[in-house]
Amino acid sequence: MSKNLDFGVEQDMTPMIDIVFLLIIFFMVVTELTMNQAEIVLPVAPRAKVVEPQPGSRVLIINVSLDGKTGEDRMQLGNGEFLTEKTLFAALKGETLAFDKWEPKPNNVGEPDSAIEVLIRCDRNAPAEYFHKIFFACQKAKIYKVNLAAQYERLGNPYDVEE
Amino acid sequence: MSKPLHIIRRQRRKRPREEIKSELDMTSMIDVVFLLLIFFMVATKFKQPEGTLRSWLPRDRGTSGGAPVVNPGCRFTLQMSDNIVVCYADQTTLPLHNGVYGSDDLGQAQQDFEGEWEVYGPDLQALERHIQMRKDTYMGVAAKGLPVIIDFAKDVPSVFVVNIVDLCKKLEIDDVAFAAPEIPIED
Repeated sequence: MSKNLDFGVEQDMTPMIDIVFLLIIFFMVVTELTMNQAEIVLPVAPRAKVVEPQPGSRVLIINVSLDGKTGEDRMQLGNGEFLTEKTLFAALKGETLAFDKWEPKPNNVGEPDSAIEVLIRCDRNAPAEYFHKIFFACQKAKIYKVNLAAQYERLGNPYDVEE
Repeated sequence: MSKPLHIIRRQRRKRPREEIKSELDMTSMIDVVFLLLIFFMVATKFKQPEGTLRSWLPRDRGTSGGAPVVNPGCRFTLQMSDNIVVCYADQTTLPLHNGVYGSDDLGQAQQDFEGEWEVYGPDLQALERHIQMRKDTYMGVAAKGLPVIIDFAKDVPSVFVVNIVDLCKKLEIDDVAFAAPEIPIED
């Protein structure tokens, strides 16, 4: 004699589905898809601080990676194409003209400098000649605020804003 | 004579119907959702926290063949020699990591080296001591304090340049500049 013990008890899946969807949304938001981006291992500098961009300022990020063919320039403006010295200068020049904000030189002599800042994200093992190339392009484009990106160790509070 | 069609339909509607219990099968959706969740959990790469070392470019251009300019500040020169980064601080050669002074003495020290560099470099503690000494004895009049100039060869890994900038920040030296490369600029 078989007896079907069906008490009509159903497990409510709604909370689980809610949580799973929340997890998916969380991971979709925080994930950094780096499929077409060059991987850059930044040097460690404990004194590097997080500097919040000032309102109305513009920071251009130049990535220097170790990827790519040997002998090629590996500079990118943002995640754009690889640039040579000339094309980098042209891009920076275009950015300064488009931004069109200028600051007087310290001695007030000569043409003013661009208010644009450049942040160099250079792989720690990339040759420093890329610094030279970027410095050249920045000088020619009248950009003199050039910062170096680095990973910091949590020795102090990295969110202390520089004065 | 048969009944009209609309009467037949009414009678059919009035016929008691069996209750059809329809349930939406959630299994496939949960499968897909879990697959998505696993994908994003595996593919997620959290962004590393990054900081910034502020610096400024020199406004002058480098010239080749000229006489060296006497500068009251501290000047570091990084050069590459046999896959070793040699650091000259004010015409003094700084020791390498772990107190090694030359390529002949590297030996086991280089094999045991487990630092973050792929090439051997200067001892950061000696570098820091040199900057501190120069800072303490600086008698200049610059408002920002001891000026530090960093010059580097093109094949030096960039991490060594960043290390010097970082040490200057540690010792609260704000006037850090890079030597202008000796390459003519075409306008």
